Amino acid sequence: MTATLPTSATTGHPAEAVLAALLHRVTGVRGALVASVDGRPVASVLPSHDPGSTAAIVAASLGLGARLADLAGEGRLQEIVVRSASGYVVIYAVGERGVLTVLTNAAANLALLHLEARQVCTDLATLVEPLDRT
Amino acid sequence: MAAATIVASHAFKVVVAGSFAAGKSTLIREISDTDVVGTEAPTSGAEAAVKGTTTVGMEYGTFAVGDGDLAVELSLFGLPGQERFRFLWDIVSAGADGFLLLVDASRPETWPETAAMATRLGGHHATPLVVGINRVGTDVDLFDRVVEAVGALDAPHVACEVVDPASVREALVTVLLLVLDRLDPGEAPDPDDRIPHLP
Ligand SMILES: Nc1nc2c(ncn2[C@@H]2O[C@H](COP(=O)(O)OP(=O)(O)OP(=O)(O)O)[C@@H](O)[C@H]2O)c(=O)[nH]1
Ligand SMILES: [Mg+2]
Repeated sequence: MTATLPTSATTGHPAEAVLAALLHRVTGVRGALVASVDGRPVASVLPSHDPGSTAAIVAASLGLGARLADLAGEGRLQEIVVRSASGYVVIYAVGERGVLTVLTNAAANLALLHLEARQVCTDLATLVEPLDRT
Repeated sequence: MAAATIVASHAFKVVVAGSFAAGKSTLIREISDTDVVGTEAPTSGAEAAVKGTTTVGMEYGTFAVGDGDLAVELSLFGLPGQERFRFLWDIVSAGADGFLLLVDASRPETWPETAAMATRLGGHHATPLVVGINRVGTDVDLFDRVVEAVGALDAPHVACEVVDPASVREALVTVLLLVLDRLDPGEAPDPDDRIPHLP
């Protein structure tokens, strides 16, 4: 199975290459977005969604997800997983100020995605943090 | 006193709206009787020059007006300010009994946007709206210019210094009185009969 060909890529930010590589590595991944935690897109490889509105929805979900995570006890939110009939949306923290969102189809292997995406988050952290400080 | 008995067992939902940095979160944190649940995230880009964090989801706090059996409980919901979070407004505002629309008198560049919000919130015709003017001090002329810019002339406009609990309380009581009047439009009694121990 091949990933849906992305039809929109944003800024040409170096993080885009990292996202594109994730799409190729994990079967079923349809798109990915890196954004700031206050809801601005940094880099994206998305099938058809607008990076701006996607970044805002992701930031709001992460903000509310962090309050949900408080219900579990102490400790930082690690990821948010949304499962629908069509697939998964998974949101990961990238350092202190960034967030990675991955869209997949329903057949994607979530365990494999977590494994790959956590490594991607580490790689992205160095790319995203300096940008957020400007 | 039947009306007071009914409202005593009910929490009214008041939604605090306004543009980026109007003072919505500060207001709720200033007045809430309970720990505020919030969703602040660090700002980036041009917004980082205005302040360090911003609301990306919502806030929740509570505020009781009056005391004893006749206390009226307000649930306070804070909205995010930026256009990109506008999709949350309908979600967070669902079931609102009243709106407090905040505007920062010291930032005229936000007034036109606030006017558009007033139009939008006024469109919930059945839901009372109060315009709270932050950082206006005692400047009557500035107050008038904000009122003219924001419009919503059917709604009350009150000074609302978000860092001053007494001022915030007054603005919230203004919202509450409108809500109570709207509940019982036929015979709106003297507000003091319905909410004892107002400030
Ligand atoms: N001294 C003073 N500072 C104020 C006053 N009103 C607001 N501020 C400051 O202005 C900023 C308002 O910030 P918030 O309360 O986060 O504003 P907000 O409307 O929640 O902003 P967003 O959620 O980002 O849209 C804060 O930095 C306050 O300290 C005021 O009346 N006096
Ligand atoms: Mg806020």
